[in-house]
Amino acid sequence: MRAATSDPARKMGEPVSKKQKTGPVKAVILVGGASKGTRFRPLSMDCPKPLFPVAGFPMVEHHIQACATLDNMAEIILLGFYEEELFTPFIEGCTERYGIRIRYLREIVSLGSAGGLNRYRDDILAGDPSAVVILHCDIACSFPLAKMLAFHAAKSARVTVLGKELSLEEAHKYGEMAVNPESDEMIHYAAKPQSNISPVINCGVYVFHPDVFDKLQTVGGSRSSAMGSDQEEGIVRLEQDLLMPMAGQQFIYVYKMEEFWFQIKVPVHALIATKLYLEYFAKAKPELLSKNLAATRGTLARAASQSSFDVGTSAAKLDIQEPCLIHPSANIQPGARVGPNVTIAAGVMIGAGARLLDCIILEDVIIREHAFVKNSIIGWNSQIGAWTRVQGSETSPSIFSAGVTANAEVVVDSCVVLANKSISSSCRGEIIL
Amino acid sequence: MVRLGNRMKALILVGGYGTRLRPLTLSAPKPLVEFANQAMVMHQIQALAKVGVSEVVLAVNYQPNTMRDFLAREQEKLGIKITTSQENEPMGTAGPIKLAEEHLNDGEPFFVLNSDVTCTFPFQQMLEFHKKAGAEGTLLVTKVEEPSAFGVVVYDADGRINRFVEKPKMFVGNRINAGIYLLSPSVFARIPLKPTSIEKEVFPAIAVDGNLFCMELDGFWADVGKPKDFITGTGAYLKHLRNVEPHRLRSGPEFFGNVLVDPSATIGLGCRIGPDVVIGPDCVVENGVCLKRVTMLPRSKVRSHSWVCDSIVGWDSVVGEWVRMESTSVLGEDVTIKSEVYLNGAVVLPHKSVGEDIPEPKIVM
Repeated sequence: MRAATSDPARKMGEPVSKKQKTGPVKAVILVGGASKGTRFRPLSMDCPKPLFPVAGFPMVEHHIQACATLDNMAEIILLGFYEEELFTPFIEGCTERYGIRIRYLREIVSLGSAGGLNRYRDDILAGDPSAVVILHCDIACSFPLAKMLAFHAAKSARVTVLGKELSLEEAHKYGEMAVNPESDEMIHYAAKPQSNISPVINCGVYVFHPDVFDKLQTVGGSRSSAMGSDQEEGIVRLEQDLLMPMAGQQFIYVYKMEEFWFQIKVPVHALIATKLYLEYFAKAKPELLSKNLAATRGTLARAASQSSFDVGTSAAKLDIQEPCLIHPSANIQPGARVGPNVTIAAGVMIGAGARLLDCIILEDVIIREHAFVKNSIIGWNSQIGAWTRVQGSETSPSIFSAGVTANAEVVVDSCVVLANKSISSSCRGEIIL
Repeated sequence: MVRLGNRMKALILVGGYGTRLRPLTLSAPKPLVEFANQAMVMHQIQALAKVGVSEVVLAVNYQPNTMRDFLAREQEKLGIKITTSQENEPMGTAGPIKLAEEHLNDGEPFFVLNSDVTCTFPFQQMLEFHKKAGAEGTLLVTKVEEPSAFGVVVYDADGRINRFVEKPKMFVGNRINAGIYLLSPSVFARIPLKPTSIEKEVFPAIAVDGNLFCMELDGFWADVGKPKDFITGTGAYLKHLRNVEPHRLRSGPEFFGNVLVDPSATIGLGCRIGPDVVIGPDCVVENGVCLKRVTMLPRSKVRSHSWVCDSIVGWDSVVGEWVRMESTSVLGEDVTIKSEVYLNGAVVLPHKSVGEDIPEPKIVM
């Protein structure tokens, strides 16, 4: 499996000075484990899903960044059952970039979404936090944590759940929450219901009062004795074991967010989430895009003057249609047109006259002259030949794992390609093993 | 050596609407569609003029003004008489010969050509063979890889034809009727003035009398009546051109194989053109374009970074940037393919604009 990359050159925001207003806050990000990422194949075969780049940053770095910008964040814990070494370089990099204590706690076996919280209760509550933010890893959103914490305090809630109103049709895919419109209390919870309960869904972000950990222990204990099975022992699920039974007991409140929210289950979701993040960055954090573009243009100017490669389009300028997020070390030749909704990782080479839109280009990919890439994810070290076309639809993109070669002039349309394959003839709608 | 007299005449069987070559023939009559930068019928008329044929009759069953005007101009240029013989009802493949008898019958043998066929046109050798054999009719035959799709000609070592086998299921031979004949005037008497097939009725009758001969064609032959054959036939023609007039083909680091470019066309930098590409008058190929087995008809344009293979780009059509076009895609006149679109076997009728991918073969009305 690919080691997580750590990039000291970039971070998503400035470290925030710690002003202690209330008590310290801690965060726990539930990252899951290797056996849980199968729906994200083939991308999860080369990289732990939480570290897969979404909008130019490992999926979970968006969570870390949001937590790190909170005034009184004391520590961020990544909780999961991946091997710890997979996260070590990433955590070291984030610790340095965001100036905050981050560590990984490993569950030996999967104990359900809340079992690990129970098991590591003492580590989480060490330092006596006034609140603990719990975040599922597989979501992309604007993480309005400061507003959520303020709401949590104002409501004197035990649990605050981040909610978002969707259409009734869409809401069925998620946990639905009936909310008292006056008090904002959650009065009923249903997981993926068949009938209409409420358009407000559970976004997978919670704020817990420390007392809630006592409650978790109770439900965990009662379940294990009731089930009487070793296998089930210690398994606690946040939704079924906490939210459902505690609904309507003035225990759980719902903070409704307005901005984007999206769940990343399968590879195509990484493309959609990237687009949503980039659009959000363009409005909320434009410096993130422009800063990188400026750096890229600097690199470009140097590359262009040094390059002996010339297709006679020397007058052509680098053409970027925002939003895009391009690593400063990427080498983009003149005449290429990039964007919108493109992320280009470190060490990527884009040939003259190439066209990229709605795609994720991972580290050290080489894209040759006049190639066309749309609605695709191009894995680490892959190569795309001259005049080659790699594309997909919005619902069925082309996905390249690591080290895939698409030969010159072929077309790859809506194909999923596993690692280290070489494609020498055109293909459409296939999984290439 | 028998000299061709300047009294010799020829009939070109043009026929109807050229539906097999649509959508190109929706904008121009088939004889005027440019094949390798020259109207299809002019390949034949020029070859006939070269051996001293003085009058060419075109058998047509419809004749738009554009064709009339075009032929009048060419007649002037070549100094050869070009007339048309119009049938009012379908006359088959032999009927038009009878219909044109008054133009053709001067007591000498005359040539009959199918208009869809292009080849090396060995008219001089045909005439010599015809005289030597004392034939009533001489057919040109050509070798094909899959004879089962054609009418196979079975003949003796001296070229005397025994019989014809239409679409044989078992192998009987690999030489087929190439659609080019030299006929003696006695043939007129064999054709009634009604719809008649020359292949199925007239030729078998002459063969029975032992007076029908064939000559093997040495060189390329192509039926260019359908887009797919038009594209492969262009490759065969350009290969022939390489042998006989190599100076007409373009060379240079950006050109691969046989490429014919009109001097008025402009080609950008960083392109990869060829093999088997024809670029017509006033065409524009922008930078970084890859073309293989493509005909660009006059005034068409392919914009930067596009990749076009096995396709025909119609008159005044524009292919946008980063377009991929392949698998016998054919654009009619004045078609616009928007940038970044993928066409796989798309046939687009005139004056259409295409903005979405066509990943499977499809006709765009």
